[in-house]
Amino acid sequence: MSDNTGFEPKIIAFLCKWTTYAAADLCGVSRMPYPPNISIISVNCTGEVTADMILSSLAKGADGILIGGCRPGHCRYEGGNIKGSNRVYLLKRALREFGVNTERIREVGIAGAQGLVFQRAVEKFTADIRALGPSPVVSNV
Amino acid sequence: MASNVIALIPHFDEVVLTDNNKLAARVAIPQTGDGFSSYMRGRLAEDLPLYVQRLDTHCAVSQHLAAVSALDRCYGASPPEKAVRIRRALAYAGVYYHHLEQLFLSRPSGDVGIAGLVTTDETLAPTDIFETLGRARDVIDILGGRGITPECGIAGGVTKGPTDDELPRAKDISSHLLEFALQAEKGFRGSGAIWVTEHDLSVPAYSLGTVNDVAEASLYDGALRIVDPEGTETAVGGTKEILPILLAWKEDLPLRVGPLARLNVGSGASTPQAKALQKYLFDALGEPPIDRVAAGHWAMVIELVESAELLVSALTTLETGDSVINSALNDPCEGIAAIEGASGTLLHHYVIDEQGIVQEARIVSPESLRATEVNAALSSAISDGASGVTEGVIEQIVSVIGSYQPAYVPSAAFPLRITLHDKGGKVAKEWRRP
Amino acid sequence: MSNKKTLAFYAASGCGGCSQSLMLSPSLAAMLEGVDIAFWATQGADLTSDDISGFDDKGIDVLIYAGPLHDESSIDTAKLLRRKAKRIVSYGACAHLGGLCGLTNVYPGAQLRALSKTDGEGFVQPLSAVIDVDYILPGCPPPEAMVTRMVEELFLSDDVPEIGTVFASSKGVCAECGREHVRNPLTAIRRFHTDPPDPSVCLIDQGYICLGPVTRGGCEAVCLRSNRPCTGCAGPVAGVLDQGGAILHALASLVSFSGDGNEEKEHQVLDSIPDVVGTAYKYSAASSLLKKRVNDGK
Repeated sequence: MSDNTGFEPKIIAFLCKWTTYAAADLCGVSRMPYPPNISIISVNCTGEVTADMILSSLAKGADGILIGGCRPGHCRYEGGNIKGSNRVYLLKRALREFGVNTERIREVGIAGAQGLVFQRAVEKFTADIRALGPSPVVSNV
Repeated sequence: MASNVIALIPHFDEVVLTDNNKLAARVAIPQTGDGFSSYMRGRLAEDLPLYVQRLDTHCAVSQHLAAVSALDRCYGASPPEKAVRIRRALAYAGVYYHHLEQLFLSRPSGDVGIAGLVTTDETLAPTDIFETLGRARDVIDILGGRGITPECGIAGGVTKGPTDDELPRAKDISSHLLEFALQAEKGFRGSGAIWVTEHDLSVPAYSLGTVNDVAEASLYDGALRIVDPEGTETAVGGTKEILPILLAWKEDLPLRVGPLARLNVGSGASTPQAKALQKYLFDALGEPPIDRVAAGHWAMVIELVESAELLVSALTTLETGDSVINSALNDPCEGIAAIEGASGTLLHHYVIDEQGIVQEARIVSPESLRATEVNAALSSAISDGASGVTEGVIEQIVSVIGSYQPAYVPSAAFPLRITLHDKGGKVAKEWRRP
Repeated sequence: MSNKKTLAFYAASGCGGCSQSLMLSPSLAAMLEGVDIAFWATQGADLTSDDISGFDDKGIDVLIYAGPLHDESSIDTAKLLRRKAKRIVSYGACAHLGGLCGLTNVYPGAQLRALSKTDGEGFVQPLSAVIDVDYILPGCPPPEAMVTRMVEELFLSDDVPEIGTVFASSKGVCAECGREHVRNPLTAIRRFHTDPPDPSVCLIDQGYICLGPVTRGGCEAVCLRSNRPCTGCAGPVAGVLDQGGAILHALASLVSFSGDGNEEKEHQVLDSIPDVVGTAYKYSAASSLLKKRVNDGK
């Protein structure tokens, strides 16, 4: 594992306001700390996250992107989460061609009541991105 | 505004002088080698005809059709008669467009004509030339689906045939194109021909071209033929026979392609009016084989007439309606095809995997073949007592290049750069044409 | 002094298609009557940096710039031209998006043409990455209707077009296509040369990959009229930053949708899309949000 001590990853999180965002909120009100590396953007549904949003985040310096929605079958919009997930799946194919390590993008499905799950997911993702090191994409821009 | 002929010879992007014991010169060849093959690796087979024409849109139609023919071979397809006819008509329209553009230098700044030669005939105004070029483009649009860069070609056929509205329009335009070509030829014979007789740079060379069933020079398809500087056939056949010869071609053996080579490989033009007009050329310069470089310009003017005649007759074979325009394809593999492109013989060699993805794409371009001839011309021009690279030597190089313009067909426009290399191959001195 | 506008045309290393498309415009004659031509040049061939320096700053009213930027020298020239020109039109896909040459940013060792990359650092960029661009004329090469519009608005009209004008449609190619939309899910990817499409139905509905939905119109859907898919030469439709990402987003939205959380089937369809970058970013790789290949471990 590379030595990335001192590197603080910048992580953009697109969170479904009905579930994962609510879980993040729960962490807040429950005083359950999670790494400050994460900047949260609330969306109506992960199906709303466009390629432009993901790619712009990378281009503007994000080292990791967390997309948090509902668990399968629980979407308020008849499967917007699954459509969103299919989009990320295909976009990753292009990202690999561009040389981007697709582990920088992680999808999670966390219910609103699962504050602890959210806390651990952010801790884990932050640690994983720290291990990956800074994203090389931003140097292009 | 004076026309700067040298500025319009982009293919001579670089002339390299090697100053060992003897001074030698060579032109740098536009790259269609490994860099292009790795560009195409992983791309879709059906996109090849799209990519290759962006190598050089001056002969986009030739590149497109060469790619399509090679894809036919890759997919073991035999296009239906209608598609063959559409492609043929498109090919002739492409030659016409290319020649017109090359001959008239296509600059809107007013300096049109072969160094102003054709326009000395007042019946041809620059606006007529642009209008005619535009109409030739319209025929390419009708037959190829898009002007400048056609896109109808696919393995096994075409994607579109001319509609009920389009076909009569194409026929109308083609008779105008023929009329214009005849007028341009007349104008050229009045003045340009004299210019040709004054430019006496001669390079004995082998000639490569395509001939039809009755051994006349073809402007699209047929058998490949190579003749030696005396006009004797040294090879004939398809890509299987000719490609190995070309790949093993010695660099110091001048090989000519394009209009002048076509004059030398066959028994003359394939159409009546062009045949008649060739007599004037032969009267002035003798019977083929002709080695005079500048005669290529004259040959190109005659081919302008020939391509228009061929286009007119090819269009009469076309029908509108729903008949089949493509055939079923087999599993893809390797394929090689040659066509006679506007600027010379063009060979495309592709390897396509079973998913229809390009693995290899190699192009033997007229420019790379012709380099042997141009290098011979350069060497002969500078060898006489040249003990070093003087301004005089540079002038001679520029004059050689002048003799090739415009028959030496431009690709992407690049500066003329002359470099002198030391023994280690490093650039010791450099001239850029201002 | 003449009150005619001064026009200059400059092509960086390109294929020559842009210059042809401009010269073949039916409105060329009208345009030439109203302008003085400062120069009509291809890179290096006709004029050097010294020649360009000889023009007064802002001495050229309209400069039409075609071709990609690919090295220090082309960047320097572009900056110099910016000083000399009041208005600059980014003309054609290479100047606008990087064009087909842009794929070389993603695939090392690839070359479409011999671009004189001086060192390994050189990569293809659109004109707007280096200088401010006033107008854009998309297309590879620009279609006649768009060229005519540019000529009319820039040279034949008394009004000056607003900075930022794109001489194309603000809508997508689909708006001009006219094929019937049948809303089929995407269940398998088809290729138009092995399996010719129905000419009356939307290509995407039939399973072909067409960039029409994410590509700026104004071309009258010329490729679709030839029964071929749009390849995206006019760049992203207004409001979209990354054309390739947008088409991938659209295609992934169309796969037949099980909704049960087991997306294996959907993924199979998405996996079968061939040459993802060459298809989605054919002309726009250099102007995509990622711009070029990076080395990111795996």
